Amino acid sequence: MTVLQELTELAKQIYNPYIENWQKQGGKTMGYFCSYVPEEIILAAGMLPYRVRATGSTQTTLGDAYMGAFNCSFIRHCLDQALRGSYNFLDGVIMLNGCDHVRRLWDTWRRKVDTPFCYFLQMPHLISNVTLAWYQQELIRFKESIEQHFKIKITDDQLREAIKTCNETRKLLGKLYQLRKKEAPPITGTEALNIIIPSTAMPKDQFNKLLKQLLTEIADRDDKAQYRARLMVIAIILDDPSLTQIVEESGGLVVADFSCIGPRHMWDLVDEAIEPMEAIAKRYLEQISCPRMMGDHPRRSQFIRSMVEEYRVDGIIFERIKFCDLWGAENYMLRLDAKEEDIPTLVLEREFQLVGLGQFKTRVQAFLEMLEGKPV
Amino acid sequence: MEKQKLTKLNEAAAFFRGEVKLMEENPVEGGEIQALTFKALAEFLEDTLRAAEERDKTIGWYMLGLTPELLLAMDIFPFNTEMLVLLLPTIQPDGLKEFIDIGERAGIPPEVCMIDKSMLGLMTRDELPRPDFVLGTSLPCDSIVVAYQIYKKLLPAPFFILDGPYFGDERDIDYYALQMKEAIKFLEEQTGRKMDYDRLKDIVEEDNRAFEYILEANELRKAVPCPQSGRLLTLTNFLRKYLVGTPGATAIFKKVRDDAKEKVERGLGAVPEEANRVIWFHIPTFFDLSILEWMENEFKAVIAMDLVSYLPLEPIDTSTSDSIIRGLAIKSLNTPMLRQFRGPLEFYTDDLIQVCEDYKADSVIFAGHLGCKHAWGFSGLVRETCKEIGVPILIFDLDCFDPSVTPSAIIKEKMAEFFKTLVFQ
Repeated sequence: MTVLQELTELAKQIYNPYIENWQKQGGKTMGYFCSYVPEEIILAAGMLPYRVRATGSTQTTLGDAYMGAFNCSFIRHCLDQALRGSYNFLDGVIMLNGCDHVRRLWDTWRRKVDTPFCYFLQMPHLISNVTLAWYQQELIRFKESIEQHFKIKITDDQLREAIKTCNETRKLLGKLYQLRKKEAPPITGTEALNIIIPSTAMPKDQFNKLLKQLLTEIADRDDKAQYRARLMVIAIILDDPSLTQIVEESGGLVVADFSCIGPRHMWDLVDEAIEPMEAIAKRYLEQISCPRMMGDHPRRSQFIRSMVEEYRVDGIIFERIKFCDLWGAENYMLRLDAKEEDIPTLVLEREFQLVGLGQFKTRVQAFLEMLEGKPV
Repeated sequence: MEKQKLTKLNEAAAFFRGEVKLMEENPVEGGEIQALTFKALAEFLEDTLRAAEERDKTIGWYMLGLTPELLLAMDIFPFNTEMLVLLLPTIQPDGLKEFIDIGERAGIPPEVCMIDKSMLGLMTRDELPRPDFVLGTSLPCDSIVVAYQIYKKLLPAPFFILDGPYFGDERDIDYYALQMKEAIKFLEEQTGRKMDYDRLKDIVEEDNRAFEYILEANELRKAVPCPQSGRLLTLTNFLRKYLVGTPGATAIFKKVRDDAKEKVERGLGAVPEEANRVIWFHIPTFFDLSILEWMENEFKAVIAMDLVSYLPLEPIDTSTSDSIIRGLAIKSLNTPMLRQFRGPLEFYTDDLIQVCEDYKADSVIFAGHLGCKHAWGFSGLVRETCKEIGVPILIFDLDCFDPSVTPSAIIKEKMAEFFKTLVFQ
């Protein structure tokens, strides 16, 4: 089995052999939602940071007893999975005020799911000196809470090691993304997702090892040369490659993306030269943001524009899960910017569980035809 | 700069002025408070129009959950950003429709809160007094987080946003108070003037006086029968939002308190033979407030207390400028509705349990505004809470500002079924 095949298999599973092995050796696993949770602190505590997903979930019957039909289906699926016991392997879970849906998930999860450690991290909505100082204090409280519950001590040295490991992951993923700039990228968007997803669900040092191998494996691949258009996908959480797959089966090639699990999660490194908690706070607050960060839309827009340029993107697909107000409004603003730059866009609204595939295919086909007909 | 037409503000002012004239010409028993409230609102809207036309004062927009005292103390004309969104549906049920349509056609998805859509529409049509700057906050929800980003994209004015803490302990209050001080620096930079702390103290003390009357009136509503109607709560709420720190508002709240006191002493209720004490623990149906009267007439059901009127706070300590700022931070964090929705579940359910106990609730209504994803996110747990305390709850979905989603007739059907089958068992 190639590394790519192995990672593709791992991306389809919530609980995988790496986690099983880790836990057999006595390792603890800490679940988290959102790219604003500092993995470094979890790693420094000697635990496996695990990004909670709803992979494979097909129903929300149990979740719907607690949340409304107007709540994000990704979150309802996660809750449903948790209530069915799919996340019983977690020793802890961390949520934050990422969005209205996640914060309400915390309310239900802590009451109805038997996870031993359930923590809520407050995250500012603004980037400033005032919020940075406050957020750093929040992270210290978070660290102390882990120490108290698990009866451990997290040292600065452990934090520095964790920072190095996570930075290594980011750099390696960054190298992977650089390959997608090529005229003939060696991986598809679907493959890229299948590589990134396991990075959030297995020991980081083992992932880093696999990824180094993979980068060697694919270095000379150029069988992705035939495509109709180079596309960027902007989405909330791309933990499910189905829609990207539809786009690529139609002949588009997703060469770039902007989501919680893509570049935003990996682009900015933690500064290894300064005091670790300060460095972590700075990185996570000041990273390329998501729409929850007020006042930062211009920077997000500029980041996307530069990606469009660097990756020679022909068109942008906005993939939005229904009832997400944050991305509903952000997409409106980004489309205004895209229009200014004459970048064609397509909005695909979906529920977490993809239905109406035919409709999506038709719209993607029409978009690709439009891009092909666009004068140079 | 081209003069703004501000058609909707003009229409709103004319509406309230017209209603006042009607009430003066045809006075009804118990209508004095409504007449005074409408008159105060009409005057406020006329002041707003004047300020927008003459531009002799800096105009500062402020978010619903913030406190205009800081603006008033610096002689800045405060315009509550969301004001027309709340007022227009009360004047005409589909008063926001054209603006919501503009927002949706522009690309805001239909299920996004109508605040975002209708504000985009109002701004596109230049229906709001152009701000010299904007004060916002991240509270209580995603809708506001994105709303202020949209406004910032569309307006050339400078913005200052306060980051709201999620919890409410002393550290969180200190954090918010610190940001209020930063907001003051922002206002000083924008205006070239220094904060007048003596004036701020006067305004806050006036508001404290009004607040004491509100607290007393709220206390008196615990009596059986409830002395005043549910509609009065909504009416006085508008005053509380827009006429902060004015002797006129204080005088009206004193009348509200006096009226409630007299009725309690005489054993009079808003509803003769009161049969059901309702806690409406969500946003009112702004597009049709007559539903409140319908409940009273059809089912002898009176709203003893609602979410947007519940104020379990102390008056602000005005002994120092620091205590004033801290008090304003607390007040802002505890703006009704923000208070219950901005944080964890318990911020809502603790209040709900207390209100049900204090006001001897027979039932709870959770009118689930579909823009409030955060409320829907704990609706199941709220249902469980009501079951634990033995109070029946009705949960239904609607858009509180747009009748096209769930029309009044359907709401009444649901409520009728609820009252008939559950409450009167």
